[in-house]
Amino acid sequence: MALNRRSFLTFAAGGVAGTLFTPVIWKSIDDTAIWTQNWPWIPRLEYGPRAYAATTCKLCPAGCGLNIRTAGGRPVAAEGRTDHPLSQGGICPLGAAAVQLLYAPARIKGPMQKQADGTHQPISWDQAEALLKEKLAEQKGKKDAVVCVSGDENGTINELFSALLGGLGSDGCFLMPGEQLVASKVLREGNIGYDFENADFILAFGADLLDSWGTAVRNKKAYGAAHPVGEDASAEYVYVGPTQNVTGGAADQWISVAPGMEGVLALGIAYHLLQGGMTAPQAHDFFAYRNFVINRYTPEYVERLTGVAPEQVAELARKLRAADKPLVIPGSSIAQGGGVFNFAAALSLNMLFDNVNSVGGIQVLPDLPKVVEGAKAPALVRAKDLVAYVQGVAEGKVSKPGVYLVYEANPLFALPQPDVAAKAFDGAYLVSFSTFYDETAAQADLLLPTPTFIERLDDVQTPYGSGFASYSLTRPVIRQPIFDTKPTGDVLLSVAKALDIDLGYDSFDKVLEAKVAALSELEGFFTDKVQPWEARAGKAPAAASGNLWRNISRGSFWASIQEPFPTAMQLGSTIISQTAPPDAEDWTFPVSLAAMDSRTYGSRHIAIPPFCLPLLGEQEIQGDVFYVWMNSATARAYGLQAEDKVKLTGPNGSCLAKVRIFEGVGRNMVAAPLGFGHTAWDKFSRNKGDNIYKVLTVRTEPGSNLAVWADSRVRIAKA
Amino acid sequence: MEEKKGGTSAGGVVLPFLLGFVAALAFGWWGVPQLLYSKKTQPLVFTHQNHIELYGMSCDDCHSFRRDGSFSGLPGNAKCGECHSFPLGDHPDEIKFVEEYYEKGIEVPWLVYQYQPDNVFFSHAAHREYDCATAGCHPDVGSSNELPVYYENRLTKYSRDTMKMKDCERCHATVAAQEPERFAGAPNACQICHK
Ligand code: SF4
Repeated sequence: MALNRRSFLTFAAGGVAGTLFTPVIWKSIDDTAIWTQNWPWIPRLEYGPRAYAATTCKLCPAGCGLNIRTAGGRPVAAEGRTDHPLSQGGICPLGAAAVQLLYAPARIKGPMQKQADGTHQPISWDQAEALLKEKLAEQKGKKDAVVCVSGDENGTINELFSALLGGLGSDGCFLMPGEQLVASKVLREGNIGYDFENADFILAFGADLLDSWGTAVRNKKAYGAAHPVGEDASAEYVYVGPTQNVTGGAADQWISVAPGMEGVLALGIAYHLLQGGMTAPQAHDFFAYRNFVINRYTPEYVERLTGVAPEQVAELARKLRAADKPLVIPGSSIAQGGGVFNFAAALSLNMLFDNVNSVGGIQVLPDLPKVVEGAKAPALVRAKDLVAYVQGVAEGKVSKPGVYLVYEANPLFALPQPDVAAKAFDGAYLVSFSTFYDETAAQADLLLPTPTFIERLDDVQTPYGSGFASYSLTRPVIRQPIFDTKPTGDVLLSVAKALDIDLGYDSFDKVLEAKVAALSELEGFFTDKVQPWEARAGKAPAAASGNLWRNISRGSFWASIQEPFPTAMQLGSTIISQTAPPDAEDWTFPVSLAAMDSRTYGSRHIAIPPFCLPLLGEQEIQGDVFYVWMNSATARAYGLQAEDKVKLTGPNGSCLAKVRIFEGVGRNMVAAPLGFGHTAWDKFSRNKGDNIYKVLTVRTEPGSNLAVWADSRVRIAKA
Repeated sequence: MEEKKGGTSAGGVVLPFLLGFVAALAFGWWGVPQLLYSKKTQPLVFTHQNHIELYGMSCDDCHSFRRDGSFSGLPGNAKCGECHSFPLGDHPDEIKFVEEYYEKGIEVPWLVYQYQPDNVFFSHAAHREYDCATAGCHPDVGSSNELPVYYENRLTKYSRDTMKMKDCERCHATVAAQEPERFAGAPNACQICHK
């Protein structure tokens, strides 16, 4: 057989035919398909043993215990800890997103410095610290030239900030505003705690217990325990607030009162109690209080200001009296920006029932011992009014500091009238310690990113709203930090050393160890067998023993129900009468703005995580436009219908939204969510809706001189 | 002339065709697998047989379920180290295990014959009542003295022994048909296995 063209072609034809009887073609197609599953850019699972690591959440001040589930040492999910009194197996949407936030594109990957063209360029930690040292050295000795804004309400890190500032000659250590600030105006020492678990009638004024106020997850657990499925409730919950938010919806009764008017209703109830013969002999100012309330807060007056019918007020007073252990919670519906009047008025009801430091009542909790020499007492830091200060600087009444240090806070987004904050910050050297590229970081001259709480050691002391003093630690549960971050405590210590300011420690870990060691000064116990509320009700806990640090750093929760000092409380008649709201109507801005907060929308310093976006309904945001809610009567009065575009205008700012009709908003009010309208962060959280903080307007409360904005008012018009 | 030409071509066509056909068969059935798979050997010699027959161990001793029900898969150094924290005997691989892996804290990079692809859920716990080897999922290494050669597909990087979807489906279909009540949860709906 000669090899000619023909035989070659037949050979090839045979080859082709033969191939059809082999798996080559099918196998190649199959393998090619499988190969496409292995492209390197396709996400891979990591395998390895699964484990849980117990830690504490720092995404908001509630201090829940979290279990971080890991696979092969890599965090994959966050769950609520069942053994932790502040979470009891529960978690909020933001906490559930904790692991995802670790990998968020908005994370700052390392220290950066702002360039002349406004962009941020990476620098080394050594350069960054040298720069910070240089900027602080320039201000050393000048009075109040360095200001710190901390968004961490309850961490020991604030002691380091305050001591460092002290060493530089400054007294400017501020916390972001919250209920703590108002509470501190009423109570000069210690914290206020609320013993929900042992109360049988809970009347919350403003405080959105089940979503965004205080120890939210623990509050939900207490509510759940009091409302067993298929059985009678063991405690009644009444919510007084502008909107039927989560708390208003779950409560046995919701009473709508415009923001800022909660205290009027509280005193309206006091009127009935006093008329009914209740006294408070333990309070020195009882008679002044009695006269003031009975003369001014008559049923007619209260109805005119709040719109609540006199019978309803009388009925509330009757229910409170009938309860065994009534507990009244003061607060504002956004847990910030409320005034002393509302707070003190609601608090005074507790004193009429003599339930201060009693089971099921309000508790005065001690501050945990301070461990950093030179730091200011926490009560003094809590009492400083950041918003009033910022307004003062912007108006030129207070001299502008040279350097701002901003830690876990986003003042250029989350202070009322953020443009005023921007003015107060403009021209000063701005240092951000934020983990994420938030609005403040975007403006900062120097970025010194701190690791997330999943990557660092940190602590939580008695969160506001807790019924007991407590301490727990956050610890690194990841093999190594994901980015080139450095715990802010360590940065502060090393910079202080370079400035010759002795803060007494080499590392932040040592500060925390000292804190734990100092806990032995108080009577405390681990909540493994007995919960703090059980202890308060009489069950004896075993005193904490063994190696405290070893236990707490592995996740044990330390609690104390010790009272700080005998409290001789006053009903606050003076402050209540001085801060009482004027009863004149405001016709320029006739509608009350009821801002709403929820952990679904992130927290004060965290934008909505992508994980939570699917939780937002079509009635909350569509495309880039978000909704404000009003009831049908209000909408009709302004010629609005569902889905109409509307403009809210306050004295200082305005925003655009669509209308959602919801009857769970009181009359002549418009409800709007906080936490939308971010301009920094990542593509997931940016440019969604508008920032309601722009529309919230600061006023000064007469009598207390406190900056308040929870009771802002607006004009609404079709846009 | 034309006829002759045709005659020659008939005989001349069959042979090249057959040659081509056979060559293709040989290439397809024998050559391609040789080319497609690289052969790898396990990092250490390991005999299941000795562990079972000489030391009376059972599969569960090393391939156990954890308390949370998840399957621990291959034992790690800690498990092996319970007996082999120092060389037992003088086999070079025994010494290598202790010196190169155990003491240095490096896990042995065993080659796994079949990982499930990333796009399926697979729980060993749900399948524990099937004998690993006889159900046809794993090669029967339990009584072997040597670990089989590991064939890695050069294209896909998968092990040649990776289970095919049809194997899962076949078992699910038969088992679910045999005892529909007991295995109500094991039909072949996509979401039963796929993420
Ligand atoms: S309520 Fe706050 S502390 Fe608790 S899980 Fe949510 S974000 Fe974390």
